[in-house]
Amino acid sequence: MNPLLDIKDLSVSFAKEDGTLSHAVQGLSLKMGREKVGIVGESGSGKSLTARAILGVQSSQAKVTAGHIRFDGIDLAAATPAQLRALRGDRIGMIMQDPRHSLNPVHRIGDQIVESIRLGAAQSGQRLARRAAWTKARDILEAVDIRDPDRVLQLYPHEVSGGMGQRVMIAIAFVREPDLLIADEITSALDVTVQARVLDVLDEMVSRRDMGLIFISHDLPLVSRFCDRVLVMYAGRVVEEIAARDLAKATHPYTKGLLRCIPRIDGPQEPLPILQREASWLEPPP
Amino acid sequence: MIKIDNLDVWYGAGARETHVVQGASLHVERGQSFGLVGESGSGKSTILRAISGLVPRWGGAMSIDGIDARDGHRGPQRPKYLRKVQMVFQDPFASLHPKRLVGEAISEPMKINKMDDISERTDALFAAIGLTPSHRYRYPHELSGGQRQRIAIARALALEPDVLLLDEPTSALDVSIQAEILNLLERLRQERGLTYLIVSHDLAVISHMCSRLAVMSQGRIVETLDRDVLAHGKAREQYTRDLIAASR
Repeated sequence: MNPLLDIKDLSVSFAKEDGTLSHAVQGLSLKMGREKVGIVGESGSGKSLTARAILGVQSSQAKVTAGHIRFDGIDLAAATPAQLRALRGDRIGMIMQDPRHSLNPVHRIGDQIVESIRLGAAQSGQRLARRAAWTKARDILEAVDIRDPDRVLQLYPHEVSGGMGQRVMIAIAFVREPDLLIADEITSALDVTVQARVLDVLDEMVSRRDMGLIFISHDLPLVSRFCDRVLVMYAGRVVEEIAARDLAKATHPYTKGLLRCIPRIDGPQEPLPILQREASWLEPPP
Repeated sequence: MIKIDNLDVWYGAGARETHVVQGASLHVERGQSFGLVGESGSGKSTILRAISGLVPRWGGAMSIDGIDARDGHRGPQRPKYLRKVQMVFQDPFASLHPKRLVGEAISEPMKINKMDDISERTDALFAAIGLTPSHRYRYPHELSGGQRQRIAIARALALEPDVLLLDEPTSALDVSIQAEILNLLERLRQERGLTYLIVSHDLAVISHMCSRLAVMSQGRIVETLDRDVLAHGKAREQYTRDLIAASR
């Protein structure tokens, strides 16, 4: 059986002014099934670029190379733009950090979910009436724990809170029931209590539909609670891969350093340990 | 040093009026670090804005080091008041002028206030925040997020204030950089005897930095407690306990 996603030696680079390349992602390999994989690291470590390269939606300046990127046996590097478009949304979904940027500001939330539902139906050769799609949109909003879906369907994106907007984005991503979902910092802008609810919804949807999830976050403790395993990225490389529940036992000095410098509610009120970066972390692992 | 009694703040007017802070009271001793924690929209940043004179309509009483805020915002005490209280915002990129050298950003408030030895003071401020005087000649976009927040802190310190109002000072930063900024703030507070009022949605940051804190929800202070009480899990209100549970 094919792994759901099989990435070998992915690199993303950008041309610098002097003509040389700056490597933003280097030699990333990942083989995953229907599981929850976390990618953590600081800003600029290459997490989001990796996600974009998988979907083929990186900026036109980015140069992507890879041994291979296969999704369910399909070679994404060799796929035509039309084949990629068919995969995106339908079999691979993505949710980004800020729902206010991902939703169209001048359309009602209901219309945006309905559009996605009808597009999905059209792709599988069915025609779905608007009214039927609207009913389905209502059910989907209920499934993401929105209590008054009829009202929310009528609202514009600016009229809902961040947590509500993010649940709408999850709803839209799940309309097409993708096999793989990429979630990029989707709870970073949310309050902790709202964060917990959004994650519950996501977890429920992912487990019930037996999907694969790539969960990108800078929040190590959160990823450790939520995911099955974690890739830790530093300066474009994966420096450590570890079962999520064992994150506290991480061995790489970068991972350990990041965990140590997080303040704790019941921690001592002493200076926090500062992360000492080593030049050797930039070298490829032996 | 900071006295706030029964503060009310309203935004908007008529049918659109919202009562964003409702009867908030807090007292902060000189040299203390006090935290305001709560979810977005709870009114915590509005309290900082009210102290700085950035909200149009408020009721109740506020004073800084004995100066009544009404005299401080509008009256003859204004220059003195505004030099006592300085603010540091969440996003240093948004709060620094993109086309001014950061050295100018730091020296400008001193020029306006006709202070002497501005160049020497600017160099000293760069040293205090862990940068070198050569950083004076950089633009904000040439600095990292952590360095920009250091600049924002230096600018706030330029007028030698007694009180720093810190609005989510590390929320936009990675945890490794957050640790450096929190350590810097704590060192500056001890060295200069500063009084801090820190707003954050991150309970752990508040617990690390403060000796006392108030928990806000929907415009009200639901509980004011000592940091040690929080750290030992002895919070009284259910809302605070929920917040602690969600923060782990």
